[in-house]
Amino acid sequence: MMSYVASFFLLVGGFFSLIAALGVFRFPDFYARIHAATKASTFGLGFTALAAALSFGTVSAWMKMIAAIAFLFITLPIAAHLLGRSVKDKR
Amino acid sequence: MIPESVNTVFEIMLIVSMVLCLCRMTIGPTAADRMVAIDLLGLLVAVLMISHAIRSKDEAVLDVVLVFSIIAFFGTVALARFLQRERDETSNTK
Repeated sequence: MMSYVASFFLLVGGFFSLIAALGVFRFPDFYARIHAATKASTFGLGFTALAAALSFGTVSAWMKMIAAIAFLFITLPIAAHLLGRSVKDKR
Repeated sequence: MIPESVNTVFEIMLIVSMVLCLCRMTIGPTAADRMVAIDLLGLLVAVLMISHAIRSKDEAVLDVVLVFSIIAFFGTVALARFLQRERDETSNTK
């Protein structure tokens, strides 16, 4: 049962990563590309980390993956903000 | 615990998205577009590392994922700072 849940989370993570890359490739505007690259990829790595934690099942794996998800949720908006500010007033 | 076939499908999805990222990195009109593509590429490499950790059942790779995401963040911050400084210098000379 747990392996089905972990496989589902892994595939959802891959789906979100694919959506992020597709958005970066297809969107016409720079700000739209930032939006795709940061928001969708947060969920991509988040769901994949959840799948890895479920797959290992140990406390240390859960701690590492929760730390990775928390760090990602803090830093990716900051990175997006810095990227957006670096091109502001340029165009 | 996760079947090998699911892991293979996941890796194929990731490789397709990395190829899309590389295309945007190549054709990106400005330096900022390339920077976003490189940022996302670093994140996808971290996701691929998690897939490797699941496949090889090696928990030490998860530490590498954690450190790699931190270093990717610092790289993005440094590149954004560099781009902003470049922009400020060009606007000062105008």
